[in-house]
Amino acid sequence: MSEPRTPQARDDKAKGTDVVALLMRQHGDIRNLFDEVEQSKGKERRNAFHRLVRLLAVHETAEEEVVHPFVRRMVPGGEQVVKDRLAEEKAAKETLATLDKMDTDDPKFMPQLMKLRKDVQEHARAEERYEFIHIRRTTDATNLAAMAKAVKVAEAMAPTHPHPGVESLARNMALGPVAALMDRTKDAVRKAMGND
Amino acid sequence: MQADLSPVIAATTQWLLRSYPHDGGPLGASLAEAQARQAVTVAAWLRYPTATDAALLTMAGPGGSGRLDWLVGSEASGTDVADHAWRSWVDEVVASWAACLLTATAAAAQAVAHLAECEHTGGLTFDFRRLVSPDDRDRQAAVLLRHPDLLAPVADLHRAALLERLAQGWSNAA
Repeated sequence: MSEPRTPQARDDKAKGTDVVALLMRQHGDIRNLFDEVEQSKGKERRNAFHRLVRLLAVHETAEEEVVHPFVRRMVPGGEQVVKDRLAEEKAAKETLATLDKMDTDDPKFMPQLMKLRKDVQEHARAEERYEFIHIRRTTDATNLAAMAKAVKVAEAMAPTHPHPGVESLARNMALGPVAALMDRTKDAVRKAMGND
Repeated sequence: MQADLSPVIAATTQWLLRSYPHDGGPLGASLAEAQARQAVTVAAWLRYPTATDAALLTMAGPGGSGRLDWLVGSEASGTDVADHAWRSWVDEVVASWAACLLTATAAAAQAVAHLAECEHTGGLTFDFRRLVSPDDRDRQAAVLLRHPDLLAPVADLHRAALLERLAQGWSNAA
């Protein structure tokens, strides 16, 4: 059984400067999680399904947040391209809502999952063909990186290591908000840089 | 050093989700997470709008969830090392601002409009639809997370600073 594929903040080893590479990696992770749900049973299937649902939501949110505004503005006929992708998602959302209410060992679960997989795969192929290729063609490296950063923020799990400045529970509790410290430091830095 | 707000955003999102949990299936949990994440992202970008701000935060540390845990009566931190680890990345001001945005969609829309002033967007437009215009399924998944009375103690902590930031723009407010 593989570990959850969604990375922890900062720990993603995928190339972080290309939003299309990141979204393609998510498509691959989604395919693998469908395989995992199909090939497992009981608690393992339930866990794999939960990870699949989270990644589908993360991916759809990232598309809506990052990709669609760009396609609308920068790709010829972008409004229609986005409209078509949203229509594809609608069918998948309904199937996902049905699956969400079912036990993963219910005999009706697998046929519904196959239906979802078909919808999701067709949608992914359309994204790659009508959105991703155009993003690569029309976007410079700076914008690809800015979009990639937002996608990474949208999928990262919370860190499992403490902030290096916090050595103990007592210190965490004692520090409290750093709001005042941050404001004073920012003021000092801006003045030093001559921005005020 | 590459300043990166993602650990702070992920940890602060997790704090909101643990404090105001979704009671339902994996889909509802994922939709609640997406809304909390968008609120925290917008709050963090507004609070730390430049690469310099983010670098200072990374250096000084976000302060942790100590006062927030006390405020919502969370006993979860205890002496659990793993629990303590992610809670050390929680930013109290960002959590408070995110609570304000989740409970007032007008403020959320205003905050998103201010993101053009932040370096993190790279001049691009992002659509935080789940935060600003949640559909029925989003709202159903975030009944506790968007409840104004329940979030008031957290939102009230730093609401005044958020309103000041939205009124003045970041370059004049700090």
